[in-house]
Amino acid sequence: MHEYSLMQALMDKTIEIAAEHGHPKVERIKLQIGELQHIVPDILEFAFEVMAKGTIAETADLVWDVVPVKIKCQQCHTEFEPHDVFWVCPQCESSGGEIKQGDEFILESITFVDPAGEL
Amino acid sequence: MEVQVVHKVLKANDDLAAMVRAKFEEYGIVGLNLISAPGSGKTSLIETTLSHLKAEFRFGVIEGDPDTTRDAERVAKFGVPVTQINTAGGCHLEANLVWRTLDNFNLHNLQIIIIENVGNLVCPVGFDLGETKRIAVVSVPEGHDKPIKYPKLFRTADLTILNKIDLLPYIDFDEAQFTADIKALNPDMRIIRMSCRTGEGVEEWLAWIKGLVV
Ligand SMILES: Nc1nc2c(ncn2[C@@H]2O[C@H](COP(=O)(O)OP(=O)(O)OP(=O)(O)O)[C@@H](O)[C@H]2O)c(=O)[nH]1
Ligand SMILES: [Mg+2]
Ligand SMILES: [Zn+2]
Repeated sequence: MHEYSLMQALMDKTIEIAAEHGHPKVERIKLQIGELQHIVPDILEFAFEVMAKGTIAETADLVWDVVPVKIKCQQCHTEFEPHDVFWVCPQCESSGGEIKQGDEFILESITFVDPAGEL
Repeated sequence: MEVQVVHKVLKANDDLAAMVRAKFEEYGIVGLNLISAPGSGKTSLIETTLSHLKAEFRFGVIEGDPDTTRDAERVAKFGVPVTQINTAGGCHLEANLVWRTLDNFNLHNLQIIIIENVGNLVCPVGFDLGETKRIAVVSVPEGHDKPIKYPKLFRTADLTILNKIDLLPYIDFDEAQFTADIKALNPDMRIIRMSCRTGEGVEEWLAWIKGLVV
């Protein structure tokens, strides 16, 4: 259900940026979503549908890249992609570590509909 | 026209959490964020804590609840300041809610603020509230597989309370597995076994809290 909070924050930011550009219509919103966000795509898409209704993003496409998890071992500093919930270092077999990537929920870009005539 | 933005969507929450954290530090307050599934014993833990320590330390309590004021009423019986945040069905607390709530407290007067998050093992985990320590509460009837099913909570918590250990004889809870999984997720995690019912383990918990207050 945290998809709704994320979507609310995303819509706020999108509308803020659109205002800076003179309220153009939004064609596409592109995100980067880390695997660790545990986003359920259907819920995110539904949240977008509900919250974009009646806004400048109503007809926009929502797209995203999934960012895989990368961990840096606390002991030997090897960076690795874990294959299950336990982040066991392939080098020294210690567990845990620092998240280098895979925990993000980032608004990467917004594509606005080009105003007629400007093409 | 594509505009590159590269904006952390939860930045607003993180910024407010940093403000809450700075406020806690300014007043020398320890902020505890209790996260668990519904019914694990968060409110019971608060009641137990207050009944032992309210004469020694000055507490404030923030109760996050989707709908009712029941937990806030239970806590108010102890005569400590308590504020209810009604999330109107929302599944977690966010830093802005906590930030606004701090106005209701006389912070000069407080040493420990306990925040009871909404009962949920997923959503609260992604939202920093500015807490000093994050505490995961798991109770025996929920089963020993909670850490591997909800790893993010156990990676980010500072302490795990295993509550309702009085029920161990009646439930096939594999405590060795539970402990091993938590240690694999977070080697530094301290686990306190306790029962709010019998009082077992309560002393260890009280000592942990006392150790946080300067
Ligand atoms: N047997 C046993 N029961 C407990 C213990 N601690 C709490 N309970 C019971 O568990 C039930 C739920 O406890 P609460 O403290 O309300 O749990 P909570 O986590 O605050 O619940 P929500 O706020 O609804 O998420 C109550 O009936 C408590 O009496 C314990 O150590 N042993
Ligand atoms: Mg409660
Ligand atoms: Zn290593």
